[in-house]
Amino acid sequence: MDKYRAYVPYLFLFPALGILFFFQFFAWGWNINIALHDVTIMNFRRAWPFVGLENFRDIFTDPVTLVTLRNTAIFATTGIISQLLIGTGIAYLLFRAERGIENFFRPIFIIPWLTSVLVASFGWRLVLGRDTGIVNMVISSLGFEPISFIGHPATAMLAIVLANIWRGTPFTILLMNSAMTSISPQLVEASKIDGASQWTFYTKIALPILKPFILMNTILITVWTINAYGLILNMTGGGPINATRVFPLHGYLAAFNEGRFSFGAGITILSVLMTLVLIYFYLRFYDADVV
Amino acid sequence: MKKLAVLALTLSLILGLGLVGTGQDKEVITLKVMTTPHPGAPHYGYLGPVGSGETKEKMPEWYENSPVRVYEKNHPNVEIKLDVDVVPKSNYTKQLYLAVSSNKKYDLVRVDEMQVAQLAATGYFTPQFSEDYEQWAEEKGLYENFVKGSTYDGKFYGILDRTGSRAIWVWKDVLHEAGYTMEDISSAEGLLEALPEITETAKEEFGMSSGLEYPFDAGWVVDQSWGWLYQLGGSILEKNEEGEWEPGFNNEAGARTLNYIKNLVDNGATLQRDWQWMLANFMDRKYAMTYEGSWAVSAITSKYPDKSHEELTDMIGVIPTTKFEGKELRALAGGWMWMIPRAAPNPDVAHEVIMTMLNNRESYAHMLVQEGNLPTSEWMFDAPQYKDMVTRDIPEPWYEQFRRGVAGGVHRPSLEKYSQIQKAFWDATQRVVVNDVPAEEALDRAAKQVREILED
Repeated sequence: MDKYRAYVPYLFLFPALGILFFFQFFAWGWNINIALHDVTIMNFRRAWPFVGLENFRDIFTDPVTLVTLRNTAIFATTGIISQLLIGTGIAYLLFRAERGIENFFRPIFIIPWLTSVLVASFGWRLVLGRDTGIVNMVISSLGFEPISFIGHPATAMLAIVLANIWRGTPFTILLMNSAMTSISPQLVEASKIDGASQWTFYTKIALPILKPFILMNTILITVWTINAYGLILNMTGGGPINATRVFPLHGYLAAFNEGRFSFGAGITILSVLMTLVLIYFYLRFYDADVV
Repeated sequence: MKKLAVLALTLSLILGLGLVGTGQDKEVITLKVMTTPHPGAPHYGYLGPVGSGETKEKMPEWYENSPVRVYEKNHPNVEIKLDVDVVPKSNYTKQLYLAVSSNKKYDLVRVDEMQVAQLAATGYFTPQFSEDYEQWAEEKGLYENFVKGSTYDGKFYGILDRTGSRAIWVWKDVLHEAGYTMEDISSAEGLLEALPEITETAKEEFGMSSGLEYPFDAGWVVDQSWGWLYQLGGSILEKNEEGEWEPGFNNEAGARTLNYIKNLVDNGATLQRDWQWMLANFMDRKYAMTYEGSWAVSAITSKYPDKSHEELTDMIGVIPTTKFEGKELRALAGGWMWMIPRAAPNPDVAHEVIMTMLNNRESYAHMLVQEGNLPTSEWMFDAPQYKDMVTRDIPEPWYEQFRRGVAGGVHRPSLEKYSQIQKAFWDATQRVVVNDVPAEEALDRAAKQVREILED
């Protein structure tokens, strides 16, 4: 009996692996299968012609794809950097604040993160609406013409970036604040005794300790921002004139508004690859030794 | 004594069960339905009540005449139960696709006219009752655009049973203050000319946001301007000499249509991205005019329940859609219909329920009025039941305007890739209106895109 003892852990792992296999690998296999065939809503119930990489060629020759990639770059870059900076800044302020103040503000800051995408997008439409929005009420009261924030290509991107930052930043606050509290008070004390300046303390002592947290945070908010198309879908639908149509949303709309499943599946695969490449560069940038 | 009591109890139980058994002789058929919600229709379309209590009290007349109840009267041994999946409009296409791809066993599915061709092409829906529908359409005078909108590949997939007419609603006090009459703005050119003055009056004299709000960038407004395109002699798609489809908008008519919308905006119309609030804005007197549907009637009459029809028409005017001088009124007229999937467990029952709905003017009229929708056939427009009921709610002049709008309707091409095609033209519209791109350039680009879509 003892000779089988070594296999017992694998036996316990089996259900979890099975579920993982089904929900991850099966779904991915199915997605890749669709991307390699010509599948639309029209022929879904018939035989699917195998087209190899033709769908990927279609994606790259589609004139809207380039626009969506540019939109994704703007949306993700501004979103990720802002969330990191604002979130870390607030986390630091909370870290330095009195315990009572910290305890009061921390739950308040987390509220946006707990808000569902639907509620958040609807809320932001209300805030920025031309006739119903609070912002435009202020603008009108100052004697200016109201602005249709989500109705114009120039301002629609700004609107979705703002909404995403508002919704995503609390996670950074939460994570970075927890990370900061993990810095040992003795270390802080010791650095003071050794005469380290505030700048030296944060760059030479705190930052290396926080590095793995920053990396994890960056990876997570990158994944979430790139995939935040639900927020965009509900706020602008990708418009006007594709001004807020990000790459994953392009796939979603092709698949579920137009019935072009292969095109949508191809974009999903490319989106994941894009995210993986970004994560690879993050790891390189932050030094692989932190993971 | 105790034994006797037990025996009596057992006997009464057996007898009771037997009686219950007799009562259950009716065959219970559950019709599985998928539809979108309608604020005015808690009973989910025209079929029958779901959760009967409230409906029975609120609408006793309709409750008894609803298609499902009429079916039961015609088949005393059958009891119909409705199992309805109500999917929000914003998520409806996705759910339709999922139903098709998983071959879900619905008996009836509500379908928008613009998706008929694409969904029919999937093979999920059955055209097996095509001849019945064809006969009905011929007998009842279904308007030609709805005949074409209901067919795919020469077969009927249902009957477009309700429609709406988009119209310009006007606060007459603002209009008159600006020095114009309804007649002045009923032409496309007249509206354009009057708009700056109306806008200024609305802002200055009445403290309104603007003169006219025009819906923009919502799924359902994408092709609404195409009524003007058809008026001017263009079309979405047309067949060339070889019988192949090609864009029918890359011409003078297309350019005039897009420039007209741009001119409206340049003359003061507000592009309304928050189109969900358009009607509310108008009712709150934030705009002098709005571009809303015939269903706005119910909002107006419920806001002013004490006003007579005369008072209402004195206060608010309606134009079905503006008409270019010397041109025939043409407006894009879509609608909704019931389609039966091949996998339907009860296709014959589902079909009979639909035909009951279509043939019973009482319940049909009731539902149209309740939803603020309009009929799609001469037969129903002429029905005394409908006219009596509708003119109780809609002032006669408005009703006549709507009827004109429906009669002058044009249908969308019955083409599988319509959703992609309409987007190309819509992008062109936005480029001209928002980005100041010349109409000819935007249309060239859209036509190229459409050709690629058609060739693909």
